[in-house]
Amino acid sequence: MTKQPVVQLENISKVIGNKTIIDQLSFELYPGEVVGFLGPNGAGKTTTIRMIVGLMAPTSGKILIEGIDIDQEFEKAIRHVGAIVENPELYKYMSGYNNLVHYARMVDGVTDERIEEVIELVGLQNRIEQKVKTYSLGMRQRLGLAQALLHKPRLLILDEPTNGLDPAGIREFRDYLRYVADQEGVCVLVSSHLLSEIELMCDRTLIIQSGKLIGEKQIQVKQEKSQGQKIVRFEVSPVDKAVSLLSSTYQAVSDGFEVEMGREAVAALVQKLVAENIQIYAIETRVKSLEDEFLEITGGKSVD
Amino acid sequence: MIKFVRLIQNENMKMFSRVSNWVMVGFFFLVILFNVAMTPADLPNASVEDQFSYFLSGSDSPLLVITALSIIWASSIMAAEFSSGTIKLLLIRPVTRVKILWSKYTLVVLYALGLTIIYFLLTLLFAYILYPGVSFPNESITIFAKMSGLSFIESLFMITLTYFLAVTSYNRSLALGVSLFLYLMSSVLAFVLQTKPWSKYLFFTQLNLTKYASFDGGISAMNTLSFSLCVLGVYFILFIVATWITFASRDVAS
Ligand SMILES: Nc1ncnc2c1ncn2[C@@H]1O[C@H](COP(=O)(O)OP(=O)(O)OP(=O)(O)O)[C@@H](O)[C@H]1O
Ligand SMILES: [Mg+2]
Repeated sequence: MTKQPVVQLENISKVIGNKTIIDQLSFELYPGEVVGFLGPNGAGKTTTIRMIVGLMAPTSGKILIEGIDIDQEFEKAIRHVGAIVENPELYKYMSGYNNLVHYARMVDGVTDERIEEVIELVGLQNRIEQKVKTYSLGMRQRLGLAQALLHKPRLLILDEPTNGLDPAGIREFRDYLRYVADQEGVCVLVSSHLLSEIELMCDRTLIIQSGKLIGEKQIQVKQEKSQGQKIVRFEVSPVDKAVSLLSSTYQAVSDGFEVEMGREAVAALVQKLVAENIQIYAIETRVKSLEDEFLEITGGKSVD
Repeated sequence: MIKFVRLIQNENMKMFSRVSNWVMVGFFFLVILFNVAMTPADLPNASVEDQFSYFLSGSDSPLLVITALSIIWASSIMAAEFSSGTIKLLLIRPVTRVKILWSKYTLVVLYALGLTIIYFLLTLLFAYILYPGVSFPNESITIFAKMSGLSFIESLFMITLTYFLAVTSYNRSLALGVSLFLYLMSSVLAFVLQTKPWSKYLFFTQLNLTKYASFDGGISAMNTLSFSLCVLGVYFILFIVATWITFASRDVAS
């Protein structure tokens, strides 16, 4: 890609006390992409996001937003960023509308029309005059999204954004993110634990663990996926004879085994099994999910 | 500059959206009314002028309330953003931290100034209602104006001290407690320490400025208004600089 990245992290490290929380992290995000930011609890996702939005200063390294160094020209760089960091914490004692007015005043050029537009976009027209303390969690998420979008950012950062949204809300939210990315070329960075969620809305994922980037994956669109590697589950008898015929590694399951293979390989294996007189009761395939890969890459360990 | 005004507007909107603030302002008005209600009807053997003057100089309790309310706001205006987590959304705007820091401080100063002006005008109004026919202007009004002004300087100093404590210690109860204690005990501490010359250089022995409204100490050079203002001024600058440095460099991890 030759486009200028919206955000660039160059060898970012963060040391608190004598603990290295982020270790030489580098990545670039481009306009129009929705990027999933994954990692087990305590991996450093929130810390990374806090550094990108200037809430924390990196111990070393450089962060550029639209080519502007956030440390050197904070106001200019942060102008392009909209974010929700962890929960959308708003002023509960004010109305949703006044919350938006508050943030609108902090950026030049946000008009009253823009405020109305954003309210409509997140579907809060009917409740916007009420105090935020009367809002449900999902409504607060919506208002949180509204404040992040007010000033038409080039980079939208969302830490656990779908937490508290109902299924329809999640769907709407996903469509909305795709819309701003595809139509307005906004770059979206979403951190989440809901892997199926990320899989559905992201073009690419970054996986971090213990403050290091340990995986990066392009998520293909559905059709391409079905041509890729699949996990195939065979229910056969006798099992031990069948597995002795396998050339690749397999996973034993009840009454059979699971192997990862392509389309052609499945046909070949079935022929082999039939030739050896092995009874086949069932063959099931499933696409390898992001969850499988996530656990594979991170080793499914507990918080360290 | 326009942006700074908008930030103050924001702080003002937040302050006056809170029920607690209306309770405090209501209390302030009650104290003014209480003060009027407690004034004795007519003092025998005293001219109207004297009674007028006596009323004005005795009406200082609302000033104490103004300083106390200012201290409460100075301790909580920043801490509240941290405890509610809203600081995260506040600091990720194209506004430097320094501007946010001073917009909050400025609002609390304006709050104290506003209440002081309201106090001054209301009390004067009541004085003329109670004792009509007194000439305007007159000597007691000048002294009353001086007292209100000096009280505002006390408030300004206490706001600065409290804000410094709250922003550097992360602890609003500590800031509130220490400030209120030093302010209310200031005269006592000054009295206890009066034999020690060095105590004159401690800010909390110099907090009672309103006593200079009707006379300017004058017994020694260390008992003058200018001396008190100099001592407070040095501490004032120290607090401002320390608040500034701490806040500008701090990681927000709440
Ligand atoms: N202020 C701090 N002081 C010391 N350690 C901290 C601080 N903030 C975070 N950490 C540590 O940094 C590590 C990364 O935390 P972070 O919140 O970034 O993780 P995360 O990836 O967002 O996790 P989660 O999925 O649970 O939200 C954790 O081990 C945490 O204990
Ligand atoms: Mg987190």
